Amino acid sequence: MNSVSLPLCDRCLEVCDPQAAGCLAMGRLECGQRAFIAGYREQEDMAVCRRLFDLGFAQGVEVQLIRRAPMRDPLVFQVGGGEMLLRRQDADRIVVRVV
Amino acid sequence: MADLRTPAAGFALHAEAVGSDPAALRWVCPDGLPAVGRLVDAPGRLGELLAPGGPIVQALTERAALWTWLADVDAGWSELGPVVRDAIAAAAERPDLWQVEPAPDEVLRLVARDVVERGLGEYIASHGGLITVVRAEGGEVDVALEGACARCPAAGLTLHGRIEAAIRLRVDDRVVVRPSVGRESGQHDDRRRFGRWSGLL
Amino acid sequence: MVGNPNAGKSTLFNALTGLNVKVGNYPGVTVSRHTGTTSLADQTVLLEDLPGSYSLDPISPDEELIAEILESGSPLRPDALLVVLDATSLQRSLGLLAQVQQLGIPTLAVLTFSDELARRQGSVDLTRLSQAVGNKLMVVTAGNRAQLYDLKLALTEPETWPAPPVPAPTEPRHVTGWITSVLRSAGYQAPAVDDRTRRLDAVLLHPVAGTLIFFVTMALFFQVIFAVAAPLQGAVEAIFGRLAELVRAHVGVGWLSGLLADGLIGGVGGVLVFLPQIALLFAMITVLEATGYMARVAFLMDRVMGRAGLEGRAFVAMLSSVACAVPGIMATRTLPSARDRLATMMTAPLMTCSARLPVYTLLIGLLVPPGARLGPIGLQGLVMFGLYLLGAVAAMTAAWVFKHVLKGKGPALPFYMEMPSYRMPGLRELGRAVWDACASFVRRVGGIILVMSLLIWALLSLPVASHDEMAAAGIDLDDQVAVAAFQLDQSAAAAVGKTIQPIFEPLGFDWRITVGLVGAMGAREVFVATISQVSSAENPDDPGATLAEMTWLSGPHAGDRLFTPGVVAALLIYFAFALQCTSTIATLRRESGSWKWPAIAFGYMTGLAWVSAWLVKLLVEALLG
Repeated sequence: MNSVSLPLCDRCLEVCDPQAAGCLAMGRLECGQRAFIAGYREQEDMAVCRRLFDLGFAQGVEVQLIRRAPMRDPLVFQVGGGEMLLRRQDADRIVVRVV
Repeated sequence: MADLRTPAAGFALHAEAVGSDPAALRWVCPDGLPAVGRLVDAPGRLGELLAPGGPIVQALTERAALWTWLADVDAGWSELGPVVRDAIAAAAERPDLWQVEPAPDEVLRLVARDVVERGLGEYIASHGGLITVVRAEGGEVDVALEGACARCPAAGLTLHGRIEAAIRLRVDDRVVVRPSVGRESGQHDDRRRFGRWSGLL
Repeated sequence: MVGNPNAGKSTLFNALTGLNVKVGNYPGVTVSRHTGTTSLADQTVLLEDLPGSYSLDPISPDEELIAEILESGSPLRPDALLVVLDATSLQRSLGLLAQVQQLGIPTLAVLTFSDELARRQGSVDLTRLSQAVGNKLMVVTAGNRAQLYDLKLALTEPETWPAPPVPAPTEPRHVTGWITSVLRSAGYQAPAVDDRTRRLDAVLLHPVAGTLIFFVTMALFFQVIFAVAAPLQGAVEAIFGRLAELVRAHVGVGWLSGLLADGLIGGVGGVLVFLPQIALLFAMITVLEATGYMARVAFLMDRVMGRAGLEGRAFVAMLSSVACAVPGIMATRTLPSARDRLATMMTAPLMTCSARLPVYTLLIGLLVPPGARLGPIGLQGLVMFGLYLLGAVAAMTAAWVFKHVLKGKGPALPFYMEMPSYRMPGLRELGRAVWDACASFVRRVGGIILVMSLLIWALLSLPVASHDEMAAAGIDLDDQVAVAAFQLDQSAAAAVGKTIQPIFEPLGFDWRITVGLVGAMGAREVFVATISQVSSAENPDDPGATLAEMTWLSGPHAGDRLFTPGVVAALLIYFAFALQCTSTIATLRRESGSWKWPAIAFGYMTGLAWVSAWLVKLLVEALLG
């Protein structure tokens, strides 16, 4: 923890409830389905969510599930101009609102 | 403003330096501002900063940008900048509470000089020309063409095509840009008369 | 230089520095440090290529390195920063730039893949982007020398770079606002989806066709490192063999000729013999990485590797270890997580490597009669396949154990990876990668291997038995085989073997076998040669026949057959699990940064080998009565 990392670790992310109307966990999207990111699921350590944010999965951004691996995991999303691979458990930390 | 379908992703806003004036900062707000003119009061922290005696001595708005000037030029924007940014973003949530006084001539002068010096300045200079704003009031802008521009057949196109379009986009669709007549020798007088940015009123 | 992993940062680094690159280590961690110099006229700039990252926010101990380097007051703090931004994913890369702006270090932004942006119908106004961002912005395209020159010029005068009047925000909501505003201002037209890549992925990642193509590709990969490398390795061995012969012929003094021929030349040859495999392996890995297919491999294999606690990218390292653990361990460099890297490195040697093959062949020949079949399948082949499978299962299980043992070192990095667009690799980058791998191997590992093989040579050849001693023992000096056997019997290695024999007695190994194990430390294939020497083989062309007839020389089993089925099975399992390769140890030392890890690997694998061998011996003896 130093002057560089501390302010970044303190960043606050918008928490969202996947049960809310019109929302669902990102890992549950169907192939080809588009959605907008509403926020992140509440959890004790938001570090992984901060990383997901830095990967381009930010609030208000549009994502699309492109494919799943043969055994349903991992997943590939179209986000921010590129394709990003995520494991299902990490994708589920993000709450999206379907288009 | 933001699409209601998508959860708001934060107010689009970034700051650009104004080379000729270190006390000024141009805040670009692509989503647009409530009105064009002098910003006298705003909700929240921004209003406090704008108050007389506060760190911001003046603020002018374009259609999609906000100009702020420091009261204390030596202090610089390094400390105040982030504070102002957060204040603008917060104030943007209540556009109805912005108090903007009309100041058409000042804004026109500001934007015209910005377009000519900062926006197109490099392009024009790279062609060996020099364009200066002689007069800006009543929705009309007079520009003087010097150097290569004076003899350039594309001058008319540049005037109307680019400068006028750029100013119209940022201020008002009715702005007209004209070449200033017989002003080459007197150009320097006008520069002295109109002075630098921060003295403009 | 900072930037996202796939943004072309390392390619730019290589283009700027040419061959003036040094690869070292950051103190105390397993991350390698790439520094190089670039010069223009009389000005030299020292460049450091920091590991690719999406953020300066360290969410695991692995990542704290970059934050430590960039902190004000850090001795490693740079005078200026080059941020590499991929033009096709500006929406994401600008986030990193926003974080960098907080540092207050002179920063220059470099836009890469602008040609790719244009190809996909995207566009951006560079002047307006530079103005919006507040930093100096330059475009660099692969192969464009003029742009590279301009960049080098800019690098020599960081004091002229403009700084943003207000650093970009870092609060998530504000950053997205900043990025949106900047991109709108710069007229950024986002690139369309890469059609070519989508269509290729539809085939290559198709559940049926894709999996098939994957297996074929991996089989090809495998074949190349085995079959294509083999004749090249043979050539290297032949060259050094000739050199050794020449030395033996011309150097009169017995021990000196041995030292030069077997010790030195043999040692150097023993290092260089790895180069064909390393070169081929890294050439193929580079092709896989550069084309983008490597990400698809990781995608397909992640579920399987996840069972062992690893991630998809570890698959290639494990697969490479089937040829040889040395390049396999080197291949773990592609894993960003230090824990994954360590877990893979420490367990890759359990994969059945090619050096075990001659030993397996010999021992299976002793255990299973040639014609034996299980239904339609040859039993010998089946046992061999079983051993390969055993290696793979052992490696995966051990990796899982290691991941859990290493858990104490902080939270794990979640697995994520960009799926890059498919593209054609350049010959230059291919050559560069191969050169880097080979050069770093020779420079960093070669020394250790050489020293260790000299040590083993010394153990096997010293003390030198004099003619008098041999005459006194009744050895016919003209009988080369007998002389060699006597020499070995008097050697330090034999002394070691005899001393440690009690440890191996429960496994049924006598001192000659243990001497063979000592010799095998240099290279597993040597076991066969050493055993032959020790047994003063009458028929050196069929060591198997001799081994089958060997009997215990002394002790409680005197006269009993040495290589009983139980003992052979035990020996097979011992070889399957034990770490008997000094080259692997040397590579582990270099890649992990200390002797601690190779020592642990040696310890746990030897222990595992001993216990498993003992259990197998008991099992086989119980089954056969």
